[in-house]
Amino acid sequence: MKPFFFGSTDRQLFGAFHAADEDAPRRDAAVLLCYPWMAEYNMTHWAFRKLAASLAREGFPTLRFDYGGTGDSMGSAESADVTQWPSDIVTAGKELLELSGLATLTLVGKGLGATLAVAASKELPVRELVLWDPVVAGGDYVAELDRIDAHQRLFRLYPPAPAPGTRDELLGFAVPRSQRQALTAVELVRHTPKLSGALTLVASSPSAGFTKAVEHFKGQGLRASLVEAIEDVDEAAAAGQSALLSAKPLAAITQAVQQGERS
Amino acid sequence: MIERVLSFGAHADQVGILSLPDPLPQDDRPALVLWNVGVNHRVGPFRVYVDLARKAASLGFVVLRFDASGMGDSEVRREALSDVDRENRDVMDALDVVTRRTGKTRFIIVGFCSSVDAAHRVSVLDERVVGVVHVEGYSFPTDGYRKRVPLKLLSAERWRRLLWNQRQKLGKRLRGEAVGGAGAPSVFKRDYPTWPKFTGDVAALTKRGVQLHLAYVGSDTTFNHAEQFFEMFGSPELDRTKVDIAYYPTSDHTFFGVQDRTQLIDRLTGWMTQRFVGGA
Repeated sequence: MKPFFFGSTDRQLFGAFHAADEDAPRRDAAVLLCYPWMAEYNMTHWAFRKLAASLAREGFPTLRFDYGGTGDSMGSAESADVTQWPSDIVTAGKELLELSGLATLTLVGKGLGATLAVAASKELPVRELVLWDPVVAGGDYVAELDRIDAHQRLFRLYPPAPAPGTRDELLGFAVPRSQRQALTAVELVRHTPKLSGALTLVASSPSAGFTKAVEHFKGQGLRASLVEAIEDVDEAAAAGQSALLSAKPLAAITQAVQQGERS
Repeated sequence: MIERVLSFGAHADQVGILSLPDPLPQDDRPALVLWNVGVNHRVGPFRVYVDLARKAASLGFVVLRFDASGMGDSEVRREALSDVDRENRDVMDALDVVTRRTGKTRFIIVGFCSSVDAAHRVSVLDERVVGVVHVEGYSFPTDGYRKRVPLKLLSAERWRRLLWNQRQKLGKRLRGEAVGGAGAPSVFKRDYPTWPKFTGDVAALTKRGVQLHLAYVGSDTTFNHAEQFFEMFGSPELDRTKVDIAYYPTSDHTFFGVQDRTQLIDRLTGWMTQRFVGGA
């Protein structure tokens, strides 16, 4: 694994490149992993490291990276701008194409990262999209974050927060109100994905929103499918105290990436 | 401030981010070294280590944030070592690489929650350590602590949480579900030093000239007033001038609030500057 910085000097991004195993079959697409945000980002780090290593062993050059203002990338949390992250995905995708010497990409995203990957697919030569528990509707997503935030504040002995949307903080992270508005506006089906292969939505918990989104994408003429990889609820992970291990979703994602290569 | 990715260790498979002041002050101020807090990789909970590293670098300190072996992006060590030896070796290797890259030979190391264990051990073992920070480290219940425990009854937040928990339990009983968990998983259990061992170590550290900055919170801990740390010592050997206690009565264990983390970082970097810059 090669950790490195890339991007422009004023928007330096951190990436971890997993070169394909030399003994594995040659593949046509490299895989770009797009992280979720906030507590989900930290919890997913280990799962993405495992997934990237596993895909590299299967012959897929794989890059995971941090958006501007998150993880090791430059920028403060206060300056993090959700609306810029699709551009970061495009920058990372181009970097991966250059590193791998391949001409096509598979984008794999988790949570908000999955939804942003759909938007970014228009700007990249994408073959497959694998969406792991994507954010379907930004308004519902923010409402759920507010609910978890209220519980976390109670659990951690903080006084109740003022009314949602009246402060620049959410779940322990600086989230300026402009970002809250941008998050609320996020919608999975707003963008028509541009891809030459299939779209797979991997669900680790059942959701009518996932089913509807897949039907919507099918209606757009895409080869879209829903794969349910239902996991037992890990209460420690749900409370942000543990890493997501996610064996079933990771197996489903690996299979979806491999199927793309065969189709 | 410039940041560089470092791959180090015997097989160059340990990963860290070096934050370098630009320009690098030509004095003997120590470098700051941080590593994983619980399951978090080198960015720390709520990215606090990134913010801390960049603030410290802006004040002229070299900072390394790294992943201990088998954590974050670092590979598992290939040598057969006990957990304790592995953790110690990880930190000492990190100090070595900072020396090789920057020439720094004096260090401040930071333990936060679980990483306090290694920070404390290495500070005792390695004389390159001239400053040690424990965030939510060891505390023991003194008489002063016990006297203040009833004050918890005055906390509206504790009553809110208690009532919420009771409502949850009642709901579970009404639904016929099991109430109560199996307790904390064994992975969260740690071997604390005994009270005499810890205070003896701290006294020895101060005698060696090591500066200590110890941050405690008031939420679910066995610490409830700043003076409690000194109450833990029966020994006259402790040099109090070497110890800085920062008590955050309304913060939680991982400094969930943005403002809490700002205070933590400001206080900590202020201590670093006061104690280690300009021959202080």
